[in-house]
Amino acid sequence: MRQPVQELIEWYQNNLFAAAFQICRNQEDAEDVVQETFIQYHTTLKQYESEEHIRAWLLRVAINKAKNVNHSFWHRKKQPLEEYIETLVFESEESGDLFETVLGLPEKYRIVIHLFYYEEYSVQEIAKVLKLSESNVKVRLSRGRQMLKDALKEDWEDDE
Amino acid sequence: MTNKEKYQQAFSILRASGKIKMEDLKMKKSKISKVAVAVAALAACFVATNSICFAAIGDTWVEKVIIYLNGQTVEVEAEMRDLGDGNYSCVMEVPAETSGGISTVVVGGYTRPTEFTIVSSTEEEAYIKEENGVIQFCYREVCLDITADYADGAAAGTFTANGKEYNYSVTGNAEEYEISLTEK
Repeated sequence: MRQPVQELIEWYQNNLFAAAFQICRNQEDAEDVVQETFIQYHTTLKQYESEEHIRAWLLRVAINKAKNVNHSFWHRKKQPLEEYIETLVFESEESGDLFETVLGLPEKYRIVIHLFYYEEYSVQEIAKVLKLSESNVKVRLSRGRQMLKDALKEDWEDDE
Repeated sequence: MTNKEKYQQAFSILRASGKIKMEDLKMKKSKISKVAVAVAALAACFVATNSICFAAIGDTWVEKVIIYLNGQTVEVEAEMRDLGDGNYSCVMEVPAETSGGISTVVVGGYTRPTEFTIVSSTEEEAYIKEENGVIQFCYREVCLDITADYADGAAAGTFTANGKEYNYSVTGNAEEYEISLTEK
């Protein structure tokens, strides 16, 4: 099956932007990644098993594109992260602290943490999206959580 | 609040700027499709061609054949195979809108009836990509900058993709491009 790209843009552009931003840590690059991801969907004649399959594919492509942007020789940093954060209005100081702390984690932990808590993916699903083993995902999740706990203390509970 | 709720509250602040709209992609697709067709039971129609003298049973060779496709005469290259029982198979690529099938094949001046079977089918699309003022015609791995050509409202030319030569033309406007793509 396929879904019209206009609908996918409506449903998922913010999700893809958030995931891409986790990697790029830059609004302009994240926007470009999202646009390129939808272009790739639109021009690729791939069939999908379900809407979930489409969503997972979009996220995987966006994450890979974001990594390519970061690793590109020609990549130039645009607006610094700190400046961008200053433009955001958080609901609470704790939200702002959590946001900054997550973005300060190593990339490999950041994206796993994001897929778990924001996209609500299971370990198994994260493993499929990132093409990692489940044990690898569990280790990264555990280490990422520990780093959040160390930084945020009582503002970050112990997960079961 | 759970960790999940805290996380989602913090990161729900991230929003794409809203500039990502389908209209901005400005792509128009034009579909051309190809199917491989197996044609059987071409008994004794190749005596007039030299190829058969040099091909052993089971060997394949390429022959130009004429087919009647959707009411039109079309010459295509077909991969021929001697089946060893006086019959031959014939595999060729034809446009996918071959709704009526291929009823006859002409080889070496002989017209013979056929059985039309789709062996495989792929779809490939040509499309126009417009971004930052640059207009590109794209097909397979090829993307041609047609910005200057299209300034008069039409662009045309030839290109090679996957070892084959194609003619293309683009007319219309940004709201509705009209694309034509044919194999040379």
